[in-house]
Amino acid sequence: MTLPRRAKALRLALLACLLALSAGGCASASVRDSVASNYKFEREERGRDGRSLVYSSPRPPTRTAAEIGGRLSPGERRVTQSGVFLRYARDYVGVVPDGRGGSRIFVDDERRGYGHFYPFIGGYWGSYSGRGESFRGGGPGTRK
Amino acid sequence: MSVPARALLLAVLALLLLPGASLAAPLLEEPDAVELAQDLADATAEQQVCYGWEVTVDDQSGEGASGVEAGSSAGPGVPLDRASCPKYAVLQGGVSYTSESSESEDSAEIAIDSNLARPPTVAQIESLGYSADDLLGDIDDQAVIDMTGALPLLVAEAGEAPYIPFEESTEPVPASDQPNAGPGSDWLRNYWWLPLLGLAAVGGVGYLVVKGVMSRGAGSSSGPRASSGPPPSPQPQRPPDPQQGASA
Repeated sequence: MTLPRRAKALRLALLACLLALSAGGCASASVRDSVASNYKFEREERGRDGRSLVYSSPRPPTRTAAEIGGRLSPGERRVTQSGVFLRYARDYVGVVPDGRGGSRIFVDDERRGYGHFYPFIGGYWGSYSGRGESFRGGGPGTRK
Repeated sequence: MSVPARALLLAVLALLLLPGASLAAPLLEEPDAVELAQDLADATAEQQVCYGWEVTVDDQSGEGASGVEAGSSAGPGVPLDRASCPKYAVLQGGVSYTSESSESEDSAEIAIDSNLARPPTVAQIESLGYSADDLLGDIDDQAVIDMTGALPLLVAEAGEAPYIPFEESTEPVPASDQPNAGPGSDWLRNYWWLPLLGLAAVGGVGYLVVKGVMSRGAGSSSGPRASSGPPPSPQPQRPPDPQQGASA
């Protein structure tokens, strides 16, 4: 390899190095940051086990959850009749209908999230002692 | 024939030909099937839409049984009676396990059978992170539960029925129930390629530096030997072309 070519290759490799380092530093893996920068903050809710940050989206739950999961892939997910739940390393995200065609987005830490979404994620993302009921059927007044 | 149409045909044929055939090793354990059927029954009570799941397994591998696993808002193990439902949406799945001698791979398909004007679609299910291939993997049970459980939500989003409101848990979680180990680093899951890129770049720089040092060392060691030899003889100068001079 001639000297100018080698210098060019060295420059390219250094550039790739810098690119990787800067991308690594800039690439945010915080679902909290991602939700905060893309949805409207509504309020903070305090519960027994901690607090939830509540955001709103004008789009329905499945689309909103797909957007959130598309920006930062969750480790686990659950889709239920009442909403979509995404699990990240330290955070739980629940995307549920707001009753007006849009969505409410809850961002909880693990402790708060497990209790908050327990009927939907219990037994999937942890232990769950609430199962074992027999089939009761449908009809008015049979909601859990 | 399209993939959903094939899955639909497979499921219908299996239901017709194997009315009593249930899987020896079901995809869903009984408590899961009961809970899913109960959730669907609750959704039917709220939305006046019937829901169900029908998964046909064709196992040629000899390791399991073939058959149909079905359930609905009428109960676990009860296929949806479409004639008794004015509105319905059913998740249909077809799983095919091939024998070891076969050249073809295991395969799976999903479809949604519905008489709604704006039915849920497979594309919507896939946008939620699930696909037919999940029926072949370790989370086949959760895939069936979630893909079926999504139907009432998708039906509501299409405006075909009211939403089922999210009811927050008001009772404390039993002390024995705890979340399991988390899913691991979010950063690594999403940017796993960055460390590889960094390593490749660092390796490339290291390689070029080492190569540069080695060639410089070789160059400096060959320098004195070249200078100790006889000086190069000067190139003989070419006489000017007489024709060129004539034409000028």
